Amino acid sequence: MLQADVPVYTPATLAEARQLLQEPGTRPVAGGTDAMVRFKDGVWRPTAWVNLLRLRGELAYIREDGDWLEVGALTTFSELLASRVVRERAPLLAKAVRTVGGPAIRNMGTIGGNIGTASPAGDSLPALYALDAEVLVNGVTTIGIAELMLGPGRLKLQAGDLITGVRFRAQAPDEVCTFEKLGLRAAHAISLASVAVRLAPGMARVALGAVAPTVIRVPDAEAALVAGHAAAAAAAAQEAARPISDVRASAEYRRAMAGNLLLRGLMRMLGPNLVSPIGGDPR
Amino acid sequence: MTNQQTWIGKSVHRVDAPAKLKGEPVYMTDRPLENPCFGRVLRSRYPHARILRIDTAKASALPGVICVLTHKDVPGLNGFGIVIPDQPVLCFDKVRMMGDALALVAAETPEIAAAALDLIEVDYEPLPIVDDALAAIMPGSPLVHETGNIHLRTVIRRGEVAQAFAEAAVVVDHVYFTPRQAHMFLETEGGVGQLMPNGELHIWCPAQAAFRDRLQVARLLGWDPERIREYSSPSGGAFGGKDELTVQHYLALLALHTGGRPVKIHLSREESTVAGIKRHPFMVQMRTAAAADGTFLAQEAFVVADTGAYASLGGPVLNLAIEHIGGVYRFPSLNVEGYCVYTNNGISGAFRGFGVPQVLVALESNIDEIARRLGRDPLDLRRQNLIQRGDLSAIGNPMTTGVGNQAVLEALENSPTWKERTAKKAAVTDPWKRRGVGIGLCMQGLGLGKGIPDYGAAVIELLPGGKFKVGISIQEIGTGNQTAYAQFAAEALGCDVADVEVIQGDTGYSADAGTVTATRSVFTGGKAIQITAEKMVALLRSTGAESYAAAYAVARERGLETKVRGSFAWPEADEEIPGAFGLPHHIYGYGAQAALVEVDTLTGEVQVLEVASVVDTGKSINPMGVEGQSEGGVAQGVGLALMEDTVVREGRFLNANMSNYIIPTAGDVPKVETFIVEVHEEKGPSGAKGMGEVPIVPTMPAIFGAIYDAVGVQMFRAPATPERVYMAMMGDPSATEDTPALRARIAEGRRAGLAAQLHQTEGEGYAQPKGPEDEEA
Ligand SMILES: Cc1cc2nc3c(=O)[nH]c(=O)nc-3n(C[C@H](O)[C@H](O)[C@H](O)COP(=O)(O)OP(=O)(O)OC[C@H]3O[C@@H](n4cnc5c(N)ncnc54)[C@H](O)[C@@H]3O)c2cc1C
Repeated sequence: MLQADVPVYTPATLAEARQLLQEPGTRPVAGGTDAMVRFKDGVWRPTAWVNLLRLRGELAYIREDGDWLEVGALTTFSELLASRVVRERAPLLAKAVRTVGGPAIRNMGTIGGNIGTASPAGDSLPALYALDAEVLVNGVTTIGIAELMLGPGRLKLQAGDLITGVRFRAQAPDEVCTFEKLGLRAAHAISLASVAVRLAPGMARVALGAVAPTVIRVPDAEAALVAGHAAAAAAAAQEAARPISDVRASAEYRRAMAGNLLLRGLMRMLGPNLVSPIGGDPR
Repeated sequence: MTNQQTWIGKSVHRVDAPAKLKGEPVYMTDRPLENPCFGRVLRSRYPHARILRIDTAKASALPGVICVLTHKDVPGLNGFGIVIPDQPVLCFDKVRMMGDALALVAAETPEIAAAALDLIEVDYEPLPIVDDALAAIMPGSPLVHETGNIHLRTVIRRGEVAQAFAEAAVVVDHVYFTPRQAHMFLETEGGVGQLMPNGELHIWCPAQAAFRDRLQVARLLGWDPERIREYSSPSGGAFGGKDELTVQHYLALLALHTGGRPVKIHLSREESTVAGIKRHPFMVQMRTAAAADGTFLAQEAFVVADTGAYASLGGPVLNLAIEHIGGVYRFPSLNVEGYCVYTNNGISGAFRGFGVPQVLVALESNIDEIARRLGRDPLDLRRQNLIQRGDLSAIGNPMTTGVGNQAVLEALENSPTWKERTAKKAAVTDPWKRRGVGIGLCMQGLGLGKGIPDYGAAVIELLPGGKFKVGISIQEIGTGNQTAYAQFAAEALGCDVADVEVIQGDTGYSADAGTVTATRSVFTGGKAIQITAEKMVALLRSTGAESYAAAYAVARERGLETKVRGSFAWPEADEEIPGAFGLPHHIYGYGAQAALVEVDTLTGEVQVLEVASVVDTGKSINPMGVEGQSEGGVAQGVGLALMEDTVVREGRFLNANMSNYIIPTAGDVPKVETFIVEVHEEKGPSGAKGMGEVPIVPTMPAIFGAIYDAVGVQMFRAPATPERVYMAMMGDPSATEDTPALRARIAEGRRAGLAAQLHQTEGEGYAQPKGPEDEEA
């Protein structure tokens, strides 16, 4: 089938969209920033596109619900960044989202699409892992983000399922957090490795991006941080990484970076004196 | 120059800016067409294979397909290439790279054309490949061309090299590798071809050599060139990548089979990367000797350039690199041996800098090490060895034209980046980062070089109302030469820039002024316009009129020709360099840069914070334009030094589009401060030289020097990606490529190259020079 022959349906309601997606071989498209690239390359050739644009009224939102925040799947990265609620109550997510692509990509790209693509290099995902986020499916059920992600491009969803949102507990005012991303340039860079870190007295969360088939949490690193051992945490991160070699970087380098980005994040959050850099002074 | 000038030297706004800023379809691949059809090219599935069978029946039968063409449909010479026509228009016996073309399709839509490509059946017999330039020299290597893998070997020897090394206080010897940089112009290769009702073939295609393109197309069609008209300007970037034919040959063939309908080809980014020209990857082993007082004594180098499957401009690129092997410094003795070799790694050719950045990084890095070992200031050591006017360059060329070295170095020394380096380095923010400053100096030969015909020509037409049309074949490829030409014309004719319309790149109107390459466009066009303008002034006088508006009326009345033509020949050196085709050049542009970088010691990331870019332009025709070229050159140089490489493994391309082929974004490009130095060139138009290539040349060594200054590691392979910098900082032994095994291979390559040289039949097109003392190599 030629590209031009692939129909695009634009349903007006969630129910209608789910109906259309029952048809085998169909695929939803939100901002299209992943979909168009893969469509062009022939990687994705659905029998029809189900364009979610008209569901924005239903699915583009940022809601506070007591201790919880809920973000609609069609919320764009730019909307997340513009939101004071997100900046103040989920600063980790804001830091991560700021590194996505460039302004044009952030204007189109959605958080639902970032989850939907299920790339280990998806930059909002380490933050969502570190926030213990739950993903809303079809507006009714929830599933933990880590449970949802099966592998690169693979989600634990049924045909016709739509991601409708994501929810997580707001970060506490006394915690610190950072998102460290390493790419091959300052913007429009696919992560070679990334680390999302949250720290508060007695609590640590460490999630690594782009160094395993999915984003991974590193419980050993978290335990080391709670105990105040930065170097041990970095070593645990390197240990946990299962990176690949590709045209962008070697597995060996990615593994080293899993630890070093964690150290860099700790130095940024806590000040350099708390952490002795393993990078050292090469001279 | 003391005489007052109205336009020359003024920062005139670019005449092409408004349309470009408004996003109008100024480029030929953007313009709407009436009743178009769409062409596609079938590329090879193997980097090296024999072609057993090509069957186009199914493709031809697909509804919507207009024609399918193969080598059988090439009526004339089935080959092209600027220097030697060794690249088939459509392959017939074998393919030598992934970008090789086997068939052409024209169809009603681009998608049908693409579908038709899938229906063309080709049987291949894969052949062993050679994907390493040094390996290509060795005996037993698979042969890309039956005549042998060595396209060109150039040897230059001067002075008492062995003695100099024996007497030297410091000898630095390293091996450097530079990448297969892609031009990544905004507008990929493309165009439109149409057979016109009058029987002419018209080709609209952004290019760099309209008249030569026309000749190449005429040859493959077996046509009279006069029946072909190429419109080749403007171009959405070129940088050398459109110097060779890009799609003109395909457009020409298809247009003969589309019933007079315009046929359009526009390469995708991926196809452009795979099939298009690249910067030659170089391996440079360089050994440099200096005396205890810092005087440079000898320079020795072994250079291998990977030209890929076809020659294109590989020979001249190698030779220009060799010409600049000693940079801007005096070297009383020299021993350089260079190879340009065929591999199955795509194809390389012209790219801004034309081989010079590839060797300059080795030279300037070696010099930095000499300075360290002698405990000398790197800038001061360079100053001590600068070529002065009247000196011989390293290859023995008497430098008799405007030598800008000294002035350039002084401007560099006074730039804040260099002068305030201590404070700037201390201003590092994060404790895991280190800052450093490095410098690079360069010169760049202008024009085509000794023995290569190099002419300029222009036409000027007087229009009603006293306005003018200036016709020159040299294209606007984004550099701003259209504006400079309008300035030259307005100055010489005494009119306003707005009264001059510049027609570029149209073989049906413009005079043949050669290529927009070799930093020759301002010199060539400026000179040609000035000479032609004198004839226009003479026309004015002959009419006795007071103004051009009145002159036009008089001329019409008397039936006088209102279009005048002028031409000139480029000045060239008196003596050629024996054994080195096209060498030496006669006029050089000069440049220098200082770079301030910040290295993240935890990741190896290098951020270039600022670059001071000094350029000796001779007279700057348009200082704002010079700044633009300077900033663009630095940006492209940052990419070359830190990010860009077309990765080809076993002949296949691994990063053909821009998600993995990394070029700098605005966030990666430093603050660039440009310092213009005007060392008058008496042979140039209004004292101008040219500068378009110069600013990319010193960027890589300046950045490498800065990385060393920051973290104490020398990078030997570009691009210096975060991983490479990190591994080098960690002292990872695998980061060192200069092993005894490599040295042994180099020695073997030198022996094999010499032996091959003695046996290999001469190349088809031009002299294969032989060094006088080859026996001792
Ligand atoms: C130039 C460029 C730069 C980029 N830079 C980055 C970067 O720095 N970091 C990064 O993480 N990503 C980056 N991306 C990738 C992309 O922008 C993000 O993954 C983005 O979040 C995708 O969102 P989208 O709305 O465009 O998704 P789409 O392309 O519309 O869809 C992506 C996938 O998710 C599915 N999907 C979309 N919405 C839903 C839903 N509600 N329910 C179920 N499935 C759904 C689609 O079917 C599809 O499989 C970049 C992309 C480009 C083109």
